[in-house]
Amino acid sequence: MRTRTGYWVLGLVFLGLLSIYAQREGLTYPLENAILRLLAPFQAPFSRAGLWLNSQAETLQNLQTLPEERRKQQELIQNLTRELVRLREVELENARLKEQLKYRGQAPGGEYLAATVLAREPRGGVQTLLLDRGAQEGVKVGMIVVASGGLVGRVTQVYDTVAKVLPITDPSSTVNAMVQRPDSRASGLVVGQPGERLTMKFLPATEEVKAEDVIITSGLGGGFPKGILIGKVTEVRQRDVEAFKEAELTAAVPLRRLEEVLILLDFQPKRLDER
Amino acid sequence: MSYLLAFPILALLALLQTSFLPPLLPLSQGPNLVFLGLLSWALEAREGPGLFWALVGSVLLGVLGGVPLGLYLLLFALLVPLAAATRRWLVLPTLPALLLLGFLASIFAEAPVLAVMEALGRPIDWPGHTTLVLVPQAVFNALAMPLVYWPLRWLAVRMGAQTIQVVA
Repeated sequence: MRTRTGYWVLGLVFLGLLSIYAQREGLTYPLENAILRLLAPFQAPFSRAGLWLNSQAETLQNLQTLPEERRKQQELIQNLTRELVRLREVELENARLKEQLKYRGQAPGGEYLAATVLAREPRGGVQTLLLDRGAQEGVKVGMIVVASGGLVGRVTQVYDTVAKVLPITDPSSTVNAMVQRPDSRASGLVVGQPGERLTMKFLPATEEVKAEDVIITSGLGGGFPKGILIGKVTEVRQRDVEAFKEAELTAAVPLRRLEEVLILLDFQPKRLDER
Repeated sequence: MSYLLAFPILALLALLQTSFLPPLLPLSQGPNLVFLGLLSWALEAREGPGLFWALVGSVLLGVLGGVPLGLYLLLFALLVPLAAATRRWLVLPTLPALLLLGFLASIFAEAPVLAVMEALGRPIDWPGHTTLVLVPQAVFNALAMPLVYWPLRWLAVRMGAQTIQVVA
């Protein structure tokens, strides 16, 4: 009996090592694709059920503050409507000026593909989102994913019907970013942290950055288009002896309750060796 | 039969873990139900089926998550016989024993994965990952362990898959 268990263990260790190698070589793609195809039809109802339960719990919690919330929302809608009208004017003016200057900007044209978040998995220090769009819909590795006007992450793996996204809160994710304020355009690097947090590093110590500052993508490096909202500064840390300061950010998009996202189809990130 | 049940049960746990639970949890972390499922089966069934469950579970975790496909398999191949060896202490498992088992097994399963991921080049901030990832996951796993273990134990008894029979 013990010998048989020993064979099992040895077999699985061999299989484990083999599959790590095979995945690196892309040989496990058909297996992964088949399992994801099999699970995908079940993932959407499970995800919807979880989000529905969460919204019911939130509704119960917010019942007492509902009238006040409604008044605030109406105020917000009025303010946003005024802002929208003003921005339309600015956009028209901007387009006219660009035309006159023959300026070719780097802002993306805006061809988006809507996708539903099927699963979220934060195991092994790697955060992953699974979307219900894949190669069949034209999704490619490196494409940018946004939601509610904020940056979510970028596509890292594409299968026939689903795609995996590395969120910006993953510790291996880095985004070139800048402060969006007329008197400060300080730039730095937004890095994901454990626990779905964000830190902006390498902010010059001489630049003024304060809480509530809005942080957007800077477009530097070519990995992300310029001008996508990342989040807001909550805290700034600086030591006298250091040339840089750091800022803690709140992500504009709360990943845990993310339901729908948009994949930016017309932006191809530049690779360093292409330049 | 024990082999046939591996995929549907672990796939159901994977769907609950990755699609249903994340919006409901107050933290970014949650229980690893697939791991708890195969751990529970290892405690109840023979080593062979237990290791087959480990194979299916590790493939599911690899496919749905971001860790390399065979990494959990290497770990579970070693953990399942260990779990099977402890089954004698859990002939009549009590709630505190299950909570402790869920917590400790989680730490023993996830910490080596982080170490391997670091060796593979991923940035692992150990203090941050310990306080915000490892410990919350272990607490969730401890709380979820009885919820996964008891139904699977009931199933193992119904199927006669147990290696140790409880005599009243």
